[in-house]
Amino acid sequence: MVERSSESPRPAETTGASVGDRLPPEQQQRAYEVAQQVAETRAATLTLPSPEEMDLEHSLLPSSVRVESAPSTAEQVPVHRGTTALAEKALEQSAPEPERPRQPRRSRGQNSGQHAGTIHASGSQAHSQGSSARHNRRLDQQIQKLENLLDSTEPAAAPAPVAEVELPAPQPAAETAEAAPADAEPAKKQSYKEFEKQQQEVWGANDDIKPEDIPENEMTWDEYLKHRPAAEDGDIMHHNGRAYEAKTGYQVSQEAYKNHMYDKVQSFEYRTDQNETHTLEAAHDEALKDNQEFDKEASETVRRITEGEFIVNKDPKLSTILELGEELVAMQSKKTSRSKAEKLAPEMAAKESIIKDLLELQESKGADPRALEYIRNKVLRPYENYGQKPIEGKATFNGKEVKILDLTETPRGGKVYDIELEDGSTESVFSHQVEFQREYPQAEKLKGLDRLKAWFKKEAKSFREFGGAAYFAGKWERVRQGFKDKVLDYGVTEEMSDTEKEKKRRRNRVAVIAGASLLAAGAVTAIGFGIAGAIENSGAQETLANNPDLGAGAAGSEHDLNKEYWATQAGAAAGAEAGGADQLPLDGTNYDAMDTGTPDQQVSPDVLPPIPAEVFNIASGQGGEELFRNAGIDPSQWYAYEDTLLAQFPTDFYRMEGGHVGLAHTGMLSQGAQDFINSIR
Amino acid sequence: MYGRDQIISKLGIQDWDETRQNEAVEMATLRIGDAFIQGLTDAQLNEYEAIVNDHTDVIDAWLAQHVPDYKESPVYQEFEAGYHDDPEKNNPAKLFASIAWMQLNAPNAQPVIDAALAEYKQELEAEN
Repeated sequence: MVERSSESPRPAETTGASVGDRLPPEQQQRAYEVAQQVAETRAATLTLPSPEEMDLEHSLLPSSVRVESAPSTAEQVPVHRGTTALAEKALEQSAPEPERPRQPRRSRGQNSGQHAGTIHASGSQAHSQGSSARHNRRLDQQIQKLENLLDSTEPAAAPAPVAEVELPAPQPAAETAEAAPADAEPAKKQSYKEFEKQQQEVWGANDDIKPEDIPENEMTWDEYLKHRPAAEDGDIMHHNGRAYEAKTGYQVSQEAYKNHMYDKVQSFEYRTDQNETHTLEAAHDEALKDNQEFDKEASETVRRITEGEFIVNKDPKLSTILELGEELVAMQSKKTSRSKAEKLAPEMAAKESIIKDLLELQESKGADPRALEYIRNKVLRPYENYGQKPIEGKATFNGKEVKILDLTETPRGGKVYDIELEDGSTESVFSHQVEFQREYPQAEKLKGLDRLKAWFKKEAKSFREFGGAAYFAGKWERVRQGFKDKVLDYGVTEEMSDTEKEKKRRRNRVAVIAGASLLAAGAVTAIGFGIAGAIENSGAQETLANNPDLGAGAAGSEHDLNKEYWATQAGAAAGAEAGGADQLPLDGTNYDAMDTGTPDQQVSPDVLPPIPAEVFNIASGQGGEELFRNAGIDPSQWYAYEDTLLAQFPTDFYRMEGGHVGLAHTGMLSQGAQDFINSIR
Repeated sequence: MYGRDQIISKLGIQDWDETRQNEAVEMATLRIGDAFIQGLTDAQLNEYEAIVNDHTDVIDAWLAQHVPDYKESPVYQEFEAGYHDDPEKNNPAKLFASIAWMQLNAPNAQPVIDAALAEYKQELEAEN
């Protein structure tokens, strides 16, 4: 008997943290989705035949070996003993190797006491809840398979072919000794070409690297792992601290490969969690600098996964467990609604319990940990993660925070969230319509700190440049001297008035800084430093959560600043139109300084300040439109007020020949005119 | 999100000399910003402009409301650490606020960035 002691660690603990353990929740979710797709495909061909299909009634088996249903209320259910023809038939149909060794039939009595004999309550209780005959039959099948596996006395050690390909990772000494025959020849060093051929038999042809592309010098396993595609369709990749699902692979380019520049160029297409597709090309050495740790881990993960898969495929018992797991994962795709999920839950719980028991049993027998880890990651990890909130953090829909109620899968694999809106109403939306604001765990933050510093070292200089004044000072100076400047003059046409040109240039200046800020914000967010991090640290999350202006409405009514105000200050200080182009604030540094103004001229977001006095200091040639623009008023409004101003302040204004009103003098307007203009904003 | 190298790659101008690349990156940055600010409300644009123009009252008020503990942020600390080496002595709070403002107001700007770069790339290809 193999007792499951409370002191004995769970399988995952004995083998160390698995791949899935290290993945953040959203990657686990991705991994699940990928596994599910695989499982759906494979389940169609690997699902075991039903008892009817196996012709139970006409079986030649004695009645003593017929499958019985598990008791419904027992805390622990004794496993049915005895290898049955039914079980053997099941294994024959599911095991990939026709020449696999068959176990001699044993009677129930022969087997008792040899193996773990319990299936824990979760399975039996769940079984009791499922009352349908179909459910019972399916569960019986799984139990039958369990019986058959339990009958096996040989540990699932790494099969010979694995040793032949000279796996680099050391195998447990006992396991190796047990698996290898005493007269086994020493492991032969296998060439890349030989290995590739073997891999193609198992995995199918590798379209990324053709045999003719392989250099003449033969490669070892280590070299192969170094140069083979590091990820395949659907694999989860990292870049700049974010996880992506590889779409077409992460691979050494053919050209680079031919030129033996393995470590120079990498390219991959990836799909983000927002379902956007991008292609990224990066120098490999740069990528390594960017994330050496991940490269190392990814390589290790790929190695263990490939080895694990290889071992599982060669072992009929492990293959059967994997198939069971894939059936379990495939069942999740049927949970397209809450009611269906509730109906399937008992059967799935039973299946999960059986798989865990089988894995534990195989582990106790010394099965290769890489194979067990492979199965756990392939089926159990996605299964366990299913139904959990896929991404930690705040979820928003149409810019408003929402609560995720449920996640269901469409028959075609799409994800649909049931969400609760602010007003309490519920809605179902596709996953790409929901945005998640990630909250990075502390470990990721620490990792991100290094990346943040790297970002500052490389990119912050240009960000500062765009955000600073000297960069624009040079540009303003060029324009002042009559030269065209591509950036400042973007969208500036000859037909524009000087004022319009000036306005456009100022807007371009803001656009450049906005572009740089946008890129910087994205980069900083990508490496794990969002606003939420700072707010989380400050304990002010509640403030953020309660702020309805957050996001698109951040500058809401309380911040309803006059759009023209800021431009006005600079324009007024420079005497804009009145003094002509030469007097415009073309020096960027001065522009900024003037823009800033003195402290008493600056506004708080809540109170509109008085128009700066210098706005009313009329320069030569200045017109009414410009006066209003400088005052932060729509210039077109001048014509609505010109008659009133002339009537009330005839010393400040006069009727021009064309009929419109103009400014009667240079210098300061009367206080009355100033007050009037202040009042109409 | 992209840095200089990624923008160059996106525009397909890896073969250009550095001077031309710098000009293109500069223009690409403008195009991205221009596309973005077209979608802003007047109030948002004013607020952002006030921040980049270093209006300290606006910056302080905005940070007090949205990121009160901003000095604890590693991003701010990095800006502050680089202050002495910054020839222009840019206000670290201004630099931090301009990024933080974008994070809050443009949480998913990637489509805007990609579209702006794609459009600019087409123009470059037509020119050459």
